[in-house]
Amino acid sequence: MSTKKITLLSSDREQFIVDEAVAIQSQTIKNLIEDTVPDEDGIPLPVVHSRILAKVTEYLTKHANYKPHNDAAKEELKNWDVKFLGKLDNNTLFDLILAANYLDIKGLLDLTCQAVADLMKGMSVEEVRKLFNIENDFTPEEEEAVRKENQWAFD
Amino acid sequence: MGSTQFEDLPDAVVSNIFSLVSDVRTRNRASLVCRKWLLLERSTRTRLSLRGNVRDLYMLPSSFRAVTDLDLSLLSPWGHPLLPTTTDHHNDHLISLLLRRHFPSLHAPIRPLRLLPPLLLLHRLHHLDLSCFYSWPEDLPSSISSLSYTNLHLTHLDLLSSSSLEGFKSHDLLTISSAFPNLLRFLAVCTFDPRYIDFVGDDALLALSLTCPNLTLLHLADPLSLSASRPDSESDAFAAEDARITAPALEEVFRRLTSLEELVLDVGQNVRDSGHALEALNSNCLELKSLKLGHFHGVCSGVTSKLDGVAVCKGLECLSLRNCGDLTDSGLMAIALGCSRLKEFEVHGCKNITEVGVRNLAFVLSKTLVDVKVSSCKKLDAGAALRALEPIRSRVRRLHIDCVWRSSSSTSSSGGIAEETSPEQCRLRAELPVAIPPVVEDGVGLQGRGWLRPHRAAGEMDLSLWDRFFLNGIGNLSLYELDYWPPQDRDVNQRSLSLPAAGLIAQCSTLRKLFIHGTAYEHFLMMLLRIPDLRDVQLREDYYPAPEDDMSTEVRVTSCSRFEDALNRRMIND
Repeated sequence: MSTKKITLLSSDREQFIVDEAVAIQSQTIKNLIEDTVPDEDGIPLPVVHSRILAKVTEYLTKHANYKPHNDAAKEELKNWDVKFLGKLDNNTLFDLILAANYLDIKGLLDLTCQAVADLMKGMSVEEVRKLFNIENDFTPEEEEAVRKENQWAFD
Repeated sequence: MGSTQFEDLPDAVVSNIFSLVSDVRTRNRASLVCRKWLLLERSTRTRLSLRGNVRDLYMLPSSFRAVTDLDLSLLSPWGHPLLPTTTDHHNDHLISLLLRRHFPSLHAPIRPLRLLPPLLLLHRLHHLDLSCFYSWPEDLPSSISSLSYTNLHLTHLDLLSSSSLEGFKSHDLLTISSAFPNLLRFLAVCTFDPRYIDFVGDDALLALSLTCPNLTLLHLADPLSLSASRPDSESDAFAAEDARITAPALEEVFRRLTSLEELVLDVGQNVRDSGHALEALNSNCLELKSLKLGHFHGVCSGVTSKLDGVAVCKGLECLSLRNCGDLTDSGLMAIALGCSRLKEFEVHGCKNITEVGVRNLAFVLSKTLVDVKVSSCKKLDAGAALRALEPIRSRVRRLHIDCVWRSSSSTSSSGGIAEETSPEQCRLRAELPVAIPPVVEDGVGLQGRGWLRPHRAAGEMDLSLWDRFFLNGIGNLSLYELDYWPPQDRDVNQRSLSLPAAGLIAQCSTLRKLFIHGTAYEHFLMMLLRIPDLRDVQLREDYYPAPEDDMSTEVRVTSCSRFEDALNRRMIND
């Protein structure tokens, strides 16, 4: 049985050829396939760099071919996700979030957002600022006031 | 191409990320990062457990606008009424107004203290959890009956307070259930003892099943079964009295409550020949997943080749049998064969089961069973229980063994199972005189959260000596949170933190939360200020027997406040 292939074109015009079933996990690509006449080179995705698109297709391919039926298979897929995330640096992670958001891939967006949320865990305020490259724009008084507010929350 | 930074992410995505952060400490830190993060954090915080003193409630910040679930049970002084008089309606409205103004999104305040009247004025309440709260059973029905309407929104009502020695009576149950006809989950303490006037029996259960037909969870327990007192291991599993609950009435109840998913009936009195009722439960409640029974006898005989009683409930994933007087090894075998999906299994106080029976059960269910509790079974000591659970050694995730510890050969086998399986939570508790090593090991296994609840035989040794012996080395455990039950001083009927205990606990340098289930003197508490990161200390008088109203109560409240002020003045980084 032959499956229909789709060609995706990254922002630096690199081509990625994937099965249609793999590609349409992205709502955006699905809409593009339905609504537009394809470019002869493929479907252009002008905001996604080839480096990121490679990661996205890796994720989509794994999740398309893998329909977990039992607990063990679910577990394996989860482990794969963990490994997949483990190989990323933070900037790639943010790029991947942007791509998942643009391409409307819910599973990948949830996975990457959770990864960022987990990054924050167990870090001090200073470490978080450094990691995410954020400048402290509080005045000392404001910071003290927020601390006071936080005192109301039991952790 | 410049690398992407966090600030490049669209706000909707960042908001989504923040809503995935559940850990309160991480959230507190995030709010301190920058102004934008503060706004994002506050707008995604939906759960809040308030800490601090009740008298400061008027200073409550109004920045937690998005909170939908509010927990008030941790306000100090712990377990005390929030309002001086519950009859003052003006005050009720004030608190209700305050809550509504500060938490406009609120729809489920959980676990409030003595806040009931103001809470009932919040019409859109879905969940109400009063389980951690001191109340007398007679207060609640009168508050409820003072309402002029029935609340159709409330679906979850938890009245499972372990502090009270009395449960709800039959007519209380009726008042409550008719005020909230749409209840889905209902938990309550009930007086099943037929020696009391207006006890809960067949009639009350039948009426409840008529007024609240949609229940998915029903949990009714006798106050006796909730108290921490341990049964005399030599006594019979049969209670002195028979409950006035009969199998035919139970069958009728089950026919009405067809949506039941979880059922807990811990009646404290004998319910005999319950097998047929349980078969009816299986045929009527197809969604049933969890069943916990106390003092139900004849649940499963296992004598014939045909499965009977509870063993026909194929769908069960969780089964707990407490004080089942006539459960035998063959009954266990029938249960193992019939309930093939069991993940959690508990036996407590079943006098006739032996190592062989439990071992067979563990063997048959070795593919599914992950959570096992065995306690107070006369023919099973701790070593035997551990040996019996060998078939599930590699799978078990939670293990709770509370049996007599015999010092002889059993120690080695228990060490084996604890090491090899490394369950997520492993609690071994044993009776003196060889309790200490397992309890301390227990703390290590728990990685950061400890429960220390010594079970001391009366008149064994001097109390402060006991504390010193028991807590020795606790500073090495790097605990993050500690629940400590000081041993009971039987002469004055109280549990109090002793000098050595305070000194030894003060050595836990990583401790952040400490709950002392008992009382303490101010000067001992002040020693705890030496712990650098200690943020929360609570004195909880939630032990049994209940503390008596001694003269020092008022002194304790003010001295406790002084300690809290000292604690809160210190700088905690997040």
